[in-house]
Amino acid sequence: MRFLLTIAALVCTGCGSSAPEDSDGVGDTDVQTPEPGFGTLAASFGIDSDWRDNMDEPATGPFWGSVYNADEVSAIGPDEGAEALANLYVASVDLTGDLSTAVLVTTEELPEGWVTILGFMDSDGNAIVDDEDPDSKDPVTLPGQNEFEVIRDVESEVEIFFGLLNP
Amino acid sequence: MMRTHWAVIGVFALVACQPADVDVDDDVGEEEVTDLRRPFPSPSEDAITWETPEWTIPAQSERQMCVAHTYGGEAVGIRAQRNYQSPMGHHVTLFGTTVSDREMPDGEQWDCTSLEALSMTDLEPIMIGGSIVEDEDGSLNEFILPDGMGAVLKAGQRIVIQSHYLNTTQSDILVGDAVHLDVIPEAEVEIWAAPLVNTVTDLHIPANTDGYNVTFDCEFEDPYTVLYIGGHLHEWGDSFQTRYTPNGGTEEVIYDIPVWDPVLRDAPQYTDYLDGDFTVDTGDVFTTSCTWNNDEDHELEFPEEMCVTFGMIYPSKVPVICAPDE
Repeated sequence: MRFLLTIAALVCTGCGSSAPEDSDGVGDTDVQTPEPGFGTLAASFGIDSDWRDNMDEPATGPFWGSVYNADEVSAIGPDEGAEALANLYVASVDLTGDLSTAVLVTTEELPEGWVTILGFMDSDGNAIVDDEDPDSKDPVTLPGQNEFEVIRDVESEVEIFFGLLNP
Repeated sequence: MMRTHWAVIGVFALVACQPADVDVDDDVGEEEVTDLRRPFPSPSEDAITWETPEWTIPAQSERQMCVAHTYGGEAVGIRAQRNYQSPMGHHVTLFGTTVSDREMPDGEQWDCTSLEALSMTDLEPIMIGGSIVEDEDGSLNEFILPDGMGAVLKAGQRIVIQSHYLNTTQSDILVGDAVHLDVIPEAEVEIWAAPLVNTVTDLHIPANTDGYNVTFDCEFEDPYTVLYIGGHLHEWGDSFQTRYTPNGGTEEVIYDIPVWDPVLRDAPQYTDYLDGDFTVDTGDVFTTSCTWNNDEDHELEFPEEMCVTFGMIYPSKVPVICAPDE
């Protein structure tokens, strides 16, 4: 359904940029649709202390995640058919000491607007490349806690927060 | 990244939001509004309180209204919860939600009568249970944890208050609810209590099928004491049962709803063990058995239907979640 909405939006955009047929030439300058803007996110990591206390292993490991358009994510994850805008991988996120890290990764350029970063720390080091999914007690991100705004031409600092251990 | 594991992340959802439709005669009571707003007792000195907006419930109608907030204080332990409701109230429940304030700003209120209006997967119970008693001004749902015990309320926790009303009168009614939480500082909590959730999310209940059953086991990885348990299905539920098998022992039924009533979706029936006499050990098993009658022409999946044994246990500061299909 979403692709239909996208098509409709494009059609409407086209309509809006058309000059009236009875134009007298005044103001004939094409109405330009603004170029889409892009920005980046510089991400640090954080974890809920209570959940960290419940982990079976130290809170350190690689991070696997994806960036989605926030409008295509609900509390149960990405909508059916939602495609990641970008993927994120950090070889080592260490939250064994402090509950937050310094900036560890910067995304590629993302379209401006709200995005959601979903991912997990592979604290037991058993994720399978190209089929990365958390298993029991890997720290995971909750959608509502990981919505960030991408601002045009700005590198925004954000904290990817692990708010739950995967059941 | 697979979608299914996200489902269980949002699965704390326990109380559904789609009451049966009630015909509303728009001509009835158009001019007349009966004021049923109630006074609320003074909360204790350190209590956290939320009051809902005043809502008008149309004559002869059923409505659920929701309002969102964010808890702005320090992390605390909830000792007791008291939910006050005007007459004609069915329940008022305090949920945590994972929905961001971008999607649901503080103070936003809406009619959450329909399931679509408030996805259940966005909700998680903070502390539920207790009994509902009528008082002279309406009803009170009170749940008090044993001495020294607390359930965590974290800083920044997003909140949804859900109020359900059944207006059986011929006039519109004006109502308003309140939630009072007695809290203590985190450091003063001697024993943490937390929600217990046993569920499956990979549900596929075939269309036009009666008696479809899903049964699953959850083994305890640590010992706990159970405060209460309950069961949760939605409107296609037929029966629900939770069984307990001590490690190496004999299975016994501990919670049984042989004929599911959809009203239990919103107002669950609990089995209490507040005297601390129900303990589970590592290796003990809860078996949850859910049966549905799907009279729809489509397959029912989570979260349209659910199958959950829920409760509260201690000691744990974080929810104890078992989802064996994850």
